[in-house]
Amino acid sequence: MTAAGLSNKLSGLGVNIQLVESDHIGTIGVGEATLPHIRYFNNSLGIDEREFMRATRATFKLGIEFCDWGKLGDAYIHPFGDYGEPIKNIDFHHFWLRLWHNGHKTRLDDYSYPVLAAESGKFQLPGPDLMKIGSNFGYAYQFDSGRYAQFLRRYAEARDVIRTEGKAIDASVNSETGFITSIHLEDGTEIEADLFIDCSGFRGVLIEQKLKTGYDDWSEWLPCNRAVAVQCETVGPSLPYTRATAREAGWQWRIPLQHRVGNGYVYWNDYISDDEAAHRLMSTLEGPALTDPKQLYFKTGKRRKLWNKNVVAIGLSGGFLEPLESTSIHLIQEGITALLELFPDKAFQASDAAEYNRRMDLNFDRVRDFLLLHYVATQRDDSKMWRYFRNMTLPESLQEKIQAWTHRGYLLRYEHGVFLPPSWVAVMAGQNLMPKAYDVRANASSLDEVKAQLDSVRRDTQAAVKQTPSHADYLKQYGALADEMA
Amino acid sequence: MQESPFQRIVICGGGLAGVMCAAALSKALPSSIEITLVDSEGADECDVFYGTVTTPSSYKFLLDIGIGEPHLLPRSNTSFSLGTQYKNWGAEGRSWTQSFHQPLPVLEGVEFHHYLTRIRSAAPQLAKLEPYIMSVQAAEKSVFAHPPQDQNIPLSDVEYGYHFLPSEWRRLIYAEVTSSAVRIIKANIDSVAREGDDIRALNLSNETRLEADLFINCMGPTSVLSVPKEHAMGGARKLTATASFKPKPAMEGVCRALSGTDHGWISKTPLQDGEHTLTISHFSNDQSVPANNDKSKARPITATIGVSNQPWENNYLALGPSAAIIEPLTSAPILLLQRDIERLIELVPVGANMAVERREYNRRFKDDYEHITAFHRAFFEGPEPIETAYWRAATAEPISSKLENKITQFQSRGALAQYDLEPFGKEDWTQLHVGMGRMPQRYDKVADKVPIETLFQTLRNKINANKAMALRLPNHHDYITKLLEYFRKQA
Repeated sequence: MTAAGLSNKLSGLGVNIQLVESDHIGTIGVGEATLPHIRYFNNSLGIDEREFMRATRATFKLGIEFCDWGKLGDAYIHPFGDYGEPIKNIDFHHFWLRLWHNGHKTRLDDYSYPVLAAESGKFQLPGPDLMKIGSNFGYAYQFDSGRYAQFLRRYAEARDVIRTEGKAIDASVNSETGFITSIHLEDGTEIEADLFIDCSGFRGVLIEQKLKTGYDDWSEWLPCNRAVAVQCETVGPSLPYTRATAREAGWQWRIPLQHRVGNGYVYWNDYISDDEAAHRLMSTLEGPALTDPKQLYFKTGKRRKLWNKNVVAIGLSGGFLEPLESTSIHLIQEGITALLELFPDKAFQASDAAEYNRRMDLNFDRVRDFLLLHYVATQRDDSKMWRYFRNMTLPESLQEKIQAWTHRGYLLRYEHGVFLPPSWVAVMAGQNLMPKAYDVRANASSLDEVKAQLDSVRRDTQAAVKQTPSHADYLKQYGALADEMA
Repeated sequence: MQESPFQRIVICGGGLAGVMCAAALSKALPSSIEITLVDSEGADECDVFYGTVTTPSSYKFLLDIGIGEPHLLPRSNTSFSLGTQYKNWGAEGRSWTQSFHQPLPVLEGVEFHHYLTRIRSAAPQLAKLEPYIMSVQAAEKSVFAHPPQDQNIPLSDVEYGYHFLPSEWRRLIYAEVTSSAVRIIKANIDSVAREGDDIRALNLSNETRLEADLFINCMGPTSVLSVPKEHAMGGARKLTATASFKPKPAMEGVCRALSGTDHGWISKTPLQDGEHTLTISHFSNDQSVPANNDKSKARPITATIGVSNQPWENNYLALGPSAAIIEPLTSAPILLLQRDIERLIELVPVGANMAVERREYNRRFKDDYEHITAFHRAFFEGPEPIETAYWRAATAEPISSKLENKITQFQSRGALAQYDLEPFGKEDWTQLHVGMGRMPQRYDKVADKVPIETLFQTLRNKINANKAMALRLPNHHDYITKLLEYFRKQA
């Protein structure tokens, strides 16, 4: 992604880009689900959506279904879109809460086009008329990240990126500045450069092994530290959403692609053994396994400086947050965007790195809070892990957000960070954190009026979903299916 | 929905802040919440510090309280504002216009000002920012018209605020409050009845006792409702504001003109019926106040510039001049008052326990004022201060780490470091940096992708389009005159 993003922006500007990668090291394949922002990335690269979807066996994604999070047996979808629309500038959910507190209990999901479409396995691109329901939602993709990497590698190579097959194992450092001057590959090749971007994954071959940058360990808040992943055959029509099912010692993902389903169990090894986790995963697959289970080890957190000297860590070398909300690829994208905006010159001014780190730290912090919300907004106490979260002292930033919501349905807003208020509403309401009160302005009209208004939103949303084609049909008619799938 | 429903709000002080708050609350809140305005003497004393320029956000604020332009323009001397022209500012005597405008075009994903850095030495005649800003071009010609929707028309880049007098807006909005459900009591506050840390009731000069769930203090810095010392507004700078008015048959200009002086600054604001002058100077004890024989001149008002660090405590909230007095150097004072009121509306308590509301209101308040303080402080950050009390005191104010980063980023590479929900955006900061002579040392390299001849042509086209547009627009005075005629006919 970085090679493609940089080559797109920097081609013809006298910047020579080299990509050192090895066919023997695959992508980790954990982050196969994405956020709507990926479309901006692809668009800015001039990538054709159909071509990209065919090449990566992608499906459309309307959101994530969370099962068993608030309590066992629960399920809700976190969609890429709002619930209803603000009424007189007041967030829709306050009116929904007013009805709720007056005995008219409805699902918030019933006011969301993407949720209802996802639930019935339907999809079409947002319509052009913004006044209509079914036009103002976001969507993303579920794709084969290995194929996406290849797709982008071809893109980069077509834009003068020189690819070198190999694995970086060491680097030379300027003894005065501490800057890296060259990297050494396994076969003895040495490659010199001014700027090094470390996308070497958890190893962090430059940022950590060489520069000893240090790591902010966040396992206190997000203690899951292992995962086991496996692919299986698709059973039934492909669904336009990802699923994350809470388990006793972590959670399990299900990501439907065109040609297979990606599955994995993210867990805390204090409370479940690797064998048990693998067994739990394999016994819950919907179709025959296509691969052997693959074991992954990680520690949640973030490199102390994502940009240190002349090394910028992008991807897992920079930090790891479990893929519960599909943020892995998104954080790569944020890293690329910030690097391009703050691209250094040979002088490497300290202020460039400082600003990059400030922006990226904020991104990581805010994603961390949002992920943690899933674990703490729950009534579950049926295992040691869930009891651990019950007794946790939360980061103040998260504590205040939860309090403001439960006290009166108010959302603490920020501008810079990926998850906007509707996402917070989705998870908090979806996991049964019900506000005790709502904005007093929602009392301005009579209860009957509000009820009629909301009923009509619900009916219109249902009607719009009824006219939406099935996801499987739409993939075909849109021309997104790979040849062997069509 | 609540065990002890929240029912009564009392607003103390009928100055601009009090009436704006009363009007906005009464429009926004359901009728079950009873609002009382205690109109006491002297609450408008510091209103002169709201200045005379509002931001584009005032349009919506006024509309929400029932004052659209067909109401506003015929019933007050309000005029349109494209911003403020600073002249002779600081030791270097800088001049520039801080205008309201839409973002400039982004080419190849790179913000516009990077291209000006790129051509700075190759084509200095094309490297100035202001010719590209339609609002500045209109301001230089004193022309105005409402911006159209069609983005192909250069005028659509323009945004506008208003030139206004706080006393006129107070009068206009007061009338609006009078015809609303708000109960107005003309009385002074004799004493405050407390219950623990909360205020239970106010004892008024007309022998009434006024109880409420929430008290909003808009009385100004000195009042019987004063906040505890540790949360009082404190500031090192004391400024004196002197206002005067000269009737004129025709308005000149569509911007406030603000010139630096040795002891502060002086602004001239074109209003429908004349020119308003505001002089801001550093206050010192030995300052001899000249006898005020001139009827057109108001009494000088002196105030300490400062912000409360906790405007909402227990069940009473300091708003307007009780929470902050800001130097009216930009449109910040009125912008922040609006934002304070809007924030309060979002956070009107749902019950007797207001801890969450208080914390959130205070958090956002603190952020807003920190950002504004940085913006104002940036007007004084330059190579050398003028050696007089005003300039010395202003440059002695601390520079926050955010401001330091903003200046470093801009000077180093034209990057705009942004923080959450800042009251002033990228356009405001870019104009200010450039106006203050901060020249980026580098620019975004991606800007080099546009071939130089194409770039020159694009830039020339934009300048010419703005110039041609400005020539076609009516004079501000004529435009308002015609608009008033139109409103009259409509009525």
